[in-house]
Amino acid sequence: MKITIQDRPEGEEDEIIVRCRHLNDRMLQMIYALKEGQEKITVCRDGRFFQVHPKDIYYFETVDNKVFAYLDKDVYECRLKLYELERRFAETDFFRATKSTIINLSKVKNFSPAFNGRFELLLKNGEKLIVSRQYVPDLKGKLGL
Amino acid sequence: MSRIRFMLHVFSMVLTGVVIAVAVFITVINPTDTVTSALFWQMPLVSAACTLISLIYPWGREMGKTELIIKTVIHYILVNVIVLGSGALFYWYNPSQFRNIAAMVLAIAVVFGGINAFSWKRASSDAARLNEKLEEYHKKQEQD
Repeated sequence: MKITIQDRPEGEEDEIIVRCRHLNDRMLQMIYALKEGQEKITVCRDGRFFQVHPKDIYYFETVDNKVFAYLDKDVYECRLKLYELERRFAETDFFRATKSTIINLSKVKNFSPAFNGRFELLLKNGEKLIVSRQYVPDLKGKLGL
Repeated sequence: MSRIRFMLHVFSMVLTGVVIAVAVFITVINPTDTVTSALFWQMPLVSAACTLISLIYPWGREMGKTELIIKTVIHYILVNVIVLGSGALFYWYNPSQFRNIAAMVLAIAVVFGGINAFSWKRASSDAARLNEKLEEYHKKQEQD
């Protein structure tokens, strides 16, 4: 793939133009990554609001109708619903693992089998989560299996 | 995998286990020269009943460890009740002979354990493939 970087006159907005015959998966992923890279997500804790980068989030979980974003060590409340997050982060590193969790695949260390068609995954921060059998096909699809 | 596909997959495993168990039973434990044609309907019928019991596991929500253990025990008990009950009804064994009952219980345990072991082995190889792809995924991310 050819990459060209052009100088722009002062005052003009930066622009990325994609020239291709077909938008393949890799290109789409790059476009989403660029878009995602610009969009931080607003979360809150103890009445204070913060902006966090999606790539720093390990997973989202719904607990008692509230959605929480889990980072390496911190936990923040997120005002978006899980289905809204799922839609927003479709085509990115995030995948639905259970009815109540969306996990960042780039934070997954490994998978191991669990009973009843499920998988257990180990995150890079040492936490263990479950992928229910209902969402295993989506995960396999995301990894190209 | 949709729930119906999952049930069909379980059914195929249970039926295979039942066919092997019946084959061992009628050749080793209770040798018989002839079998009735009804047996070919009885085996899928019992397998279907045993498959339907797997509906006790919830599909749309996650189970905790305790719930999973309790439901597995209930599942195993119900499988015993169905196989022993229908086995007596279809004259697969003589319920008045302890040796026959013990052999049936053992056959059920072997099939139940075998299916679970097979599922675990399959899940292990699936996990290994997922880990390979995950490694590729991480490498690709590092390159980008």
